[in-house]
Amino acid sequence: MEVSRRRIYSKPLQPARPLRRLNTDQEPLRNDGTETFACAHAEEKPVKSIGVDQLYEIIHLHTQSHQKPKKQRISYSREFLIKLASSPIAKRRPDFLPEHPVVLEKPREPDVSWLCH
Amino acid sequence: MNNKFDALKDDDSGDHDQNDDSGSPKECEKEKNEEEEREQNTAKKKTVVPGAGEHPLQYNYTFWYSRRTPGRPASSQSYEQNIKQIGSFASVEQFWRFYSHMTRPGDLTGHSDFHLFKEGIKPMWEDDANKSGGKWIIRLRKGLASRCWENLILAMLGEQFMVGEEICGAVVSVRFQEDIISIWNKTASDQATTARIRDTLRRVLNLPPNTIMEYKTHTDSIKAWEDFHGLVNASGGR
Repeated sequence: MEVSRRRIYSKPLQPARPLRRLNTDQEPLRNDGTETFACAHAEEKPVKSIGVDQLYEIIHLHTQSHQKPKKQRISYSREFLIKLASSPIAKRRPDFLPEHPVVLEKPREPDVSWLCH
Repeated sequence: MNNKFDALKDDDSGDHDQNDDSGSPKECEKEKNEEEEREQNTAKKKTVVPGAGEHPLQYNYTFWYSRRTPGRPASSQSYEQNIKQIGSFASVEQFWRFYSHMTRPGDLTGHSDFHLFKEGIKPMWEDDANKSGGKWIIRLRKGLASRCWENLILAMLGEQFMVGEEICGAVVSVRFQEDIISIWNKTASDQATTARIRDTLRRVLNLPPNTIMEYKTHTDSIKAWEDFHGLVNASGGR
């Protein structure tokens, strides 16, 4: 039990090690200055640049997710629209319909020729 | 003169006839009409929404109907006064409720038109959405109007044209010896859009192979109307 607990405690420290190693590896390529200077410099810089990258990534994801619903159009195929014509609700008289020679009292039956177009 | 008048009219395409019928309202008339319409709109309650469980459409649409009154001198009435709103809808089901309660265009008699436009766009060249626009015109021999009109409006309502916000509406014009269907778009100068609309029309209308399709800008239609209107004035028709 005790052994495993110690392991758990030590774990949070682990991610820092590879990061530091990475920084010191990068340093010689960029800077020939003293070791202390390089270390101080390196500790800040990579953290910052990761942050900016991540920020851009987050912004990019956000703008994408915002644009998607706008671009998506509600489209229906002719067959689907015609299928809905035979639903009972499609035959109900609209609530507001002007009195007019082209306006019918009762719904027309959908034309059969539609189906075999 | 009368013969010339008629010949011009018969030769005309689609909605242009309607405007011949009417004469563009003079400025003062226009204002009055707009006022009347505003009253009508507020009285009718303007916003339509899909009912529960219905299939929403990308846009709301309005059905209009116009007919030349026989016997009266054509140019004495205003197009805007002559055109009647039938109703607006927001879902597929609501569309069918209207459509099933209307005469099919092929069963209409005389010189008349059905218009189906996005809500808020008047089926007139002068409307802001139409003023830089144009339309594809297809002339049909008698007997094809109902089927073609249905295919056209189903493609429009189902967003089959894939030209963004460009589509304004569609018209079917019943005439003496032929019928004309047309689809209006916002930007006549946008060739990619007009080409795409043409290709979609060909695909969805299932037209006879020799069918001629013609694109006409509303500016040209207005010009033709103005020339024609000059003729009417000269002959004392107005």
